Amino acid sequence: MVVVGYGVQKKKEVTGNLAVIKGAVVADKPIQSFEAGIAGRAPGVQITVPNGVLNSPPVFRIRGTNSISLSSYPLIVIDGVPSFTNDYSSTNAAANPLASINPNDIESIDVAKDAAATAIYGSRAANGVVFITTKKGKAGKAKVTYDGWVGFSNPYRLPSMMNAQQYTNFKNAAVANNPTQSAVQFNIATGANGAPVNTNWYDYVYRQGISQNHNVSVSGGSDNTTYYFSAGYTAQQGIIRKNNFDRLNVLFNVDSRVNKVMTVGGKISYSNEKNLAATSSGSLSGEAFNTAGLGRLALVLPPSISPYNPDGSYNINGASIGYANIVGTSVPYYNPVPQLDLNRSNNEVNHIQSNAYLQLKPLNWITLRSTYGIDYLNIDNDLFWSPVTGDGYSYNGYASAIFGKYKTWVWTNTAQFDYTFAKKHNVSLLVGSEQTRRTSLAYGINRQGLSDPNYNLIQAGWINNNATGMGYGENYLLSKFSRLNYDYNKKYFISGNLRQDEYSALGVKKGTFWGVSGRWDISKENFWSSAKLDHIFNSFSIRGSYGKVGNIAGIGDYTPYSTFASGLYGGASTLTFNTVGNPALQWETSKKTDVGFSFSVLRERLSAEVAYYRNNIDGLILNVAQAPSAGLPSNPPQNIGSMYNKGVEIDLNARIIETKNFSWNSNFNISFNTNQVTALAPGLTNIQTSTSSLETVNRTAPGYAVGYLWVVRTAGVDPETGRRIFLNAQGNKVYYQYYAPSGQFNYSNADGTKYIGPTGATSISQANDAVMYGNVQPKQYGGWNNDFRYKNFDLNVMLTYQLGFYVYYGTNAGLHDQRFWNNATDMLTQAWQNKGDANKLYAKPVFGDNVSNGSAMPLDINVFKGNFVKLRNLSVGYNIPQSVLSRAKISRLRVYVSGQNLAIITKYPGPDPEVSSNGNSATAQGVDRNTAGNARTITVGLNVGF
Amino acid sequence: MKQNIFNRLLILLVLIGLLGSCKKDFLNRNPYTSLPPNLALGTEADLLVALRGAYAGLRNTDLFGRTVPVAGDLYPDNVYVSVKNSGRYIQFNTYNMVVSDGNVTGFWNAAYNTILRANNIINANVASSANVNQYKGEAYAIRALCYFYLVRYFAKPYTDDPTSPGVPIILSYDVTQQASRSSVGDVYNQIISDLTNAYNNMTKFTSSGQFSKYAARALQAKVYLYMANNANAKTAALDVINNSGFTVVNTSNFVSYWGSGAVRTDKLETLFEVSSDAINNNGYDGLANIYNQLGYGDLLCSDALTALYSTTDVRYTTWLSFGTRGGLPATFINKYKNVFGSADPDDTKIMRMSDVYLIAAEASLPSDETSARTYLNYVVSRRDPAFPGYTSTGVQLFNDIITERRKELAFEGDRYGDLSRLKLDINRSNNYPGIALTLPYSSFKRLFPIPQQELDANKNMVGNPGY
Repeated sequence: MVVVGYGVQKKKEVTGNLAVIKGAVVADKPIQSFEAGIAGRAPGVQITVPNGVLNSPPVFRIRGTNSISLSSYPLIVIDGVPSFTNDYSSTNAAANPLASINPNDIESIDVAKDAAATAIYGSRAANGVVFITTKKGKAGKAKVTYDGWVGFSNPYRLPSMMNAQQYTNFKNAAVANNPTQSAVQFNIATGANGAPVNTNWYDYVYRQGISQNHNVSVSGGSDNTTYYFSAGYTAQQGIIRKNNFDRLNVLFNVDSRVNKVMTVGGKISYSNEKNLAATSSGSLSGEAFNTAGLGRLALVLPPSISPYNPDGSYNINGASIGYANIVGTSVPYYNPVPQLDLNRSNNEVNHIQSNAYLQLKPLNWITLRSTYGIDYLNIDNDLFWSPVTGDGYSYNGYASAIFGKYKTWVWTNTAQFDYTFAKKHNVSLLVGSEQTRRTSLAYGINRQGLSDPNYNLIQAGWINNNATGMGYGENYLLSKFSRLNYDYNKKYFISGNLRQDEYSALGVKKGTFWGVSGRWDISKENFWSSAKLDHIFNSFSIRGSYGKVGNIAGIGDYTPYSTFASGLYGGASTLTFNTVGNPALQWETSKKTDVGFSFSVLRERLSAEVAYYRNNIDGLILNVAQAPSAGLPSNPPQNIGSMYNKGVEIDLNARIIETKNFSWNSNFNISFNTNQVTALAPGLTNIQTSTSSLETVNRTAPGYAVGYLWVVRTAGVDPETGRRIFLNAQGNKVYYQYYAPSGQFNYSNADGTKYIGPTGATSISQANDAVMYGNVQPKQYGGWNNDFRYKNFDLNVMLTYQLGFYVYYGTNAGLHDQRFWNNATDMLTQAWQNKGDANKLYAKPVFGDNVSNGSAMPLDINVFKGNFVKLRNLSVGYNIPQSVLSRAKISRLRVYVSGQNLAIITKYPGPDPEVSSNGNSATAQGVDRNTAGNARTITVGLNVGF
Repeated sequence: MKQNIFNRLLILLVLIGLLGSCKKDFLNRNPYTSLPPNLALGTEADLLVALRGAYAGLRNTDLFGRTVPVAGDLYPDNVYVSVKNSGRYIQFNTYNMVVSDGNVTGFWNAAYNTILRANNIINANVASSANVNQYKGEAYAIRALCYFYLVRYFAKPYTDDPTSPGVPIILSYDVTQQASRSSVGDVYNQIISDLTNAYNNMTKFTSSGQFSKYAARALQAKVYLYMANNANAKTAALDVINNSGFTVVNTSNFVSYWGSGAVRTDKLETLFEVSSDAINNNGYDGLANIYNQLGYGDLLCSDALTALYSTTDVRYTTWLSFGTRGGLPATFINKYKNVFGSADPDDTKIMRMSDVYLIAAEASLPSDETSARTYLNYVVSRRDPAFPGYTSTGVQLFNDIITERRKELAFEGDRYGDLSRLKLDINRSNNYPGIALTLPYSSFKRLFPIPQQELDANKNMVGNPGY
């Protein structure tokens, strides 16, 4: 059975495209939320774990990116209630609301992809719908289970950085190449024991994280009442120091048949999560260039200075680190050690997800059901910056506390009629209505100027108080929906879905969405067997669907409204027109086509599903510039852009070996996706999306996939002079030197004359010379899962892969920056040094040069193919034989060792091509800028059943 | 059994009833932390706060906050950009203007944005009262002011061709409107009409930071002068001189007058100015900072203008000083003394009584030279005690008036408008770059380019030729 939205259906009778993932694949994994564990598990499902920060939401796409300005995150429906998604934190510790569901409590994850499967969710269906079903009890004796593991996480593939001696030698040589900086001098500081300092900053920023996880569940029931109860505790340490995730959760599911007609039931789920961090990791969206960013500090700080003074105190110089041994240039970055010791950037989530239902079956073909569900998420953000150094220094201490309260209630009423006419005509009709209301409220205070340095709480003594984090919003979705399924003799299936949504946050509130689909089980036809095709195929069916659904994910609550905001003039209050709404604004529209076939052969040992899809998206919401003479204070949003995703999905399941003692089951899936923007708006030729407001690498333009890399091209390093050779827009070589001796130029032509571009520019710039360079969206992705069993041993080998995309490794620009920044060791061999050095990657080191290697503007030398194959999971388990267990009154005991991310095959030079410095951004994927990479984790655990 | 089925049907009906019940009002909720237009402009008090918002719009750096007054002196021949500069307004110095020029685009956008703010007040459906009329009157004046400066810079002078393309007249809020250019004559008619409405609606004088009845009338006098309608200009100017109660600043209070950055309530000289104060100002992008050597100090007084002042003139002693900048001798401009960080940064003067007297003088010509000399000397005698007064006649008298306008209103953005309406060529002193020493009246560069943004977004818009 699969979950289809307001009901379940037999998998073989489903006419839409649905992928089913068993809950077991995410159980007992060292992850915080289930999505992080489903990469490669189903075709069309693309998961990118963006960084090594615990509980940061994975980039989750179903069949590509479906929006530009709104979210492309699928709708997640947990036991019938749409969940909050994305990051709700206001601090540097991520808070993915989906982490409140203990992965061990998940029974199944059903992924609806095409219009037929999603249309019942109407205006929220364009990004696909993921149904999470939590475990329920089964009638019978109470079953008690315990699952626990201990895990060890470590960073991997960190760049190899210069040591103190290499650093000072290299930097001093670079200074010698820049006569204007002759005052600069690099020396190695002296440590506590009089020995020269040689700091490996990784040791201070990263660690081995040790995690533990425990779950206990009790389930069972009588013929009339069943229950499932579980309690979980997990305490996980990230690879970044002080980055922890602690969760305590309980879940209680109960279903009770009161009499022949009435069934009641419900669920209570409560979770408390502590997301802890000392300071910015520099890895979450918007943090890439944080001065405090730990991932960046580990790379940029000189190895020749120590975090401590010889007397053991912090080596600090005001807000930044002390650098007395470096003369003539400043080191305006923070010392990570006091930040880790003294600062906090935490949040705590209290999350209640609950529902109750009443179901009546007045006649055996009529089912009436009313469900009321709630999802309440409260978050307390707690940030403290010590006055000693770092972010809090200029404020003389800074703290903020922000409380956020996010509430959803959903009331669903459905009536289902299942009837069979003349034994062969099976009809199932669903009609229903639903109301979903969300409210959000947030308020906070920030306080500055600590009255005593011993305080570190928001409640303590401070000088200045300011309001912060104010927010108030609400929205309401009112829906009516219907589904009609019909099949003739389980051979021909047709299905229609219809939903009407009215949404408060739109100008045109009402919209109708629909999907139609059909399936033909050819193998049930007489001609099939008469043609002897049944000797080859055990089953063969074809199916197709078409429909129209919408996207409103992430739209503001008041987008259609034009509003005035308050301000001041001459000390008196003013109102000024500040936002132009669009009363004609509506949802973005996806028209989805899906056709496919499935078959099984070899006595069903091999089965396959193949699908082709195309999703045409219209009415993308963009802020379109209006005539300035209209005097508008902002550009109103309009439904104007369009793009498409198209592709093919192949899913193969094989039971390769099946013997009494040995079995091998394998699943292989691959998804091909092509995305292209077909139109923006008149006068809007492209949309540039910046990384943390500082660097723009992604550009979205018609004719290209969304968020294409837009960089300046280079043509190597001149062997004669060591100058970086840029290519201007016309493809002509332009030679660059950071230091230009008298009579020479920074930018010159091959003959040494001053470069003057076609527009009169005398330098290379991104605006003038960058080109659309590379696609960041994988063209192929998927997974290959293998389950082996030999007697009591089991072995799982899970590979995931993403192919056909580029990543901008912006960190690499920093690794080769010629300011005081520490450099990667490849600079020792790959930088031009002497006349005649050919095929060097990096220009002649000239102190201060931030242009040649990509810091000042993004260059093609820092764009790499992201293709990777990962050994996502490798686990070996052993089931203790029953003969041993029965004496201990244990029904099942399994012990295992499991490894995550144990190996990766890639040519990508950074830590991990599975990365996103811009989180879930639709238009700025494929950027790796100062991001702390993923962890490699080994867990040891056991599963016990009583 | 029958009873049972009945019960079941009842349950079914109840449930179907539930299907229909919902909270329709949840679908229509307004934002809570900002206001929709009907609530924002629903009462007399609302109009007052919205009016202050419109005044704040005038202070935009690219409107009267800085760009408009700077353009009025820099684009012609009063001030030039020092070789040592902050990179601002170079294009006005070199005449190297492009259709996407940031300051020009900012000027256009800020003017129309402020016009929209004024439109919303004028069109607000609030019951008439003395206060409501006053506020709407001020909004009419704000709108007229914006159109007057737009048409001055983006269109040919009325004195040349009233039928030539002006600027779009926008009188209401319409997001998607793609207005075409009205004729120069129509724009001027709109301005006169708005100022008449302003004059008739207003009854109060609050301070020089807000429009008042006679400030609007003074502006109207100037607009008539730009239309070469001397009779109406004189009538309006005399109405202000005789009835407003405003006085002209004189030698004894001249220094203190120009030393203060505050708005005035004493009816001395300033009829209207765009206010900046300690809390609300343009920071380092304020007007004083671009002139004063304590700020950027980029703009220096041209030798030609410096030479016009006699050394006994209080304007010479108060406004100018001498030194070197960027290795070259320079005449520094001290008209604005209150840079950012002062207790009250300088405001931008829009209408002063001295201007009204000079308008009266010019408008008295050609028929009444005696009155012209009287009004001219009324101002001049309050500037230079050593000067006996003008006695000239005919063309010389006219030229003397224009010269006195240049001297009195220097650094307030007035000069360019005079040169345009009089269709005079611009001839600059040698302080300016060699490639930009003259700009004949016939040059296309005498009009600012209609911004590229407008041309891109408005299919009915026609650009100015040449760009």
